Amino acid sequence: VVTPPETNDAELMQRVKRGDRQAFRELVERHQRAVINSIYRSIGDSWEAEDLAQRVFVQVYRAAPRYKPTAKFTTWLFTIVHNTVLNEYRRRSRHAAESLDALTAPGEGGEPGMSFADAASPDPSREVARRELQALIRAAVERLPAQQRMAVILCRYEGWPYEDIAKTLKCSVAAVKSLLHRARLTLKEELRGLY
Amino acid sequence: MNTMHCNHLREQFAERLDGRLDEPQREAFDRHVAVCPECAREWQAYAAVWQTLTRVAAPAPSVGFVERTLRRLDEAPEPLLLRWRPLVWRWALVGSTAIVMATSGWLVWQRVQSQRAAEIYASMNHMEFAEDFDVIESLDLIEKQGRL
Repeated sequence: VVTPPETNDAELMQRVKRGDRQAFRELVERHQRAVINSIYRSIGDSWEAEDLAQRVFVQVYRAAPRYKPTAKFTTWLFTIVHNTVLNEYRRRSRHAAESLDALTAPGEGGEPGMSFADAASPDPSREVARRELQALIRAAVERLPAQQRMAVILCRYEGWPYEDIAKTLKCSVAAVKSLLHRARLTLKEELRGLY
Repeated sequence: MNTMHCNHLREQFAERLDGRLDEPQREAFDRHVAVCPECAREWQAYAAVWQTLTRVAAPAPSVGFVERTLRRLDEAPEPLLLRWRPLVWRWALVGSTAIVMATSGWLVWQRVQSQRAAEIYASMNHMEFAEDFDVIESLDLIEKQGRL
């Protein structure tokens, strides 16, 4: 079955509700990058990010009967992403051995099989410096409180408007503005000297 | 520079950065930043840190991510209760309706039975009176025949 390119997410979800795996595949293909990146920016481990992203999509499939087309699919999807990341943080806090710090050691750039959006620098020392800088920025974002972190990810990396972020985080638009402002002030202090 | 004005301006940093100020507000913001070195420095740092975040590379999905996700649907099937949830609810409705109907039927039957029993009892009492009358009538006959 070839899905016409104009098919929107809500229409695909209606088909997923009926158990249409092809429609589900198309949704995964469309949103995989955004979901994986958002989780990666929250937890800082690319393998874990893929594993959690798969869990998110499995949940989407199972929860499809409860999806109402009145809700924008991406806000619904990222509510699941946000909850999944929160659950992961709770799980990790219960298992201290799996601390986030251990997973986000400075200098860590990625794992085999993962390709990064940035072009690799030909100069090894510059590449090391670039990776260290990335690790510091990522760690600063990860240290933000959960709500602030997700607001930053959705606003900065996904380019979402405040209104959609508010729906995903189940708060007001004014609260989103406040979350972003506080996150930026924190990051400004934490990353002083890097900008 | 007016501290009050500076504080108000700094509260607008987020909206200025995200393009949420209208034209007059944006112009007022820019005018202030142009003449207030302290706010200009804060604003530059605030905006720069946001720009710095884009320097974090993001991983692309690994090859076969979609297929692995689809396989995961089969590997961890939905709990039976969830999968058959509509059917469970339907059978629960049918079952509860059947129980209500059976209970009501039994109560009605019980009532009918008790009414019938009462009627039979009443008619038996009536028959006893009739029998008594029969006896009395018989007594009369017997008396008339001079048997007593």
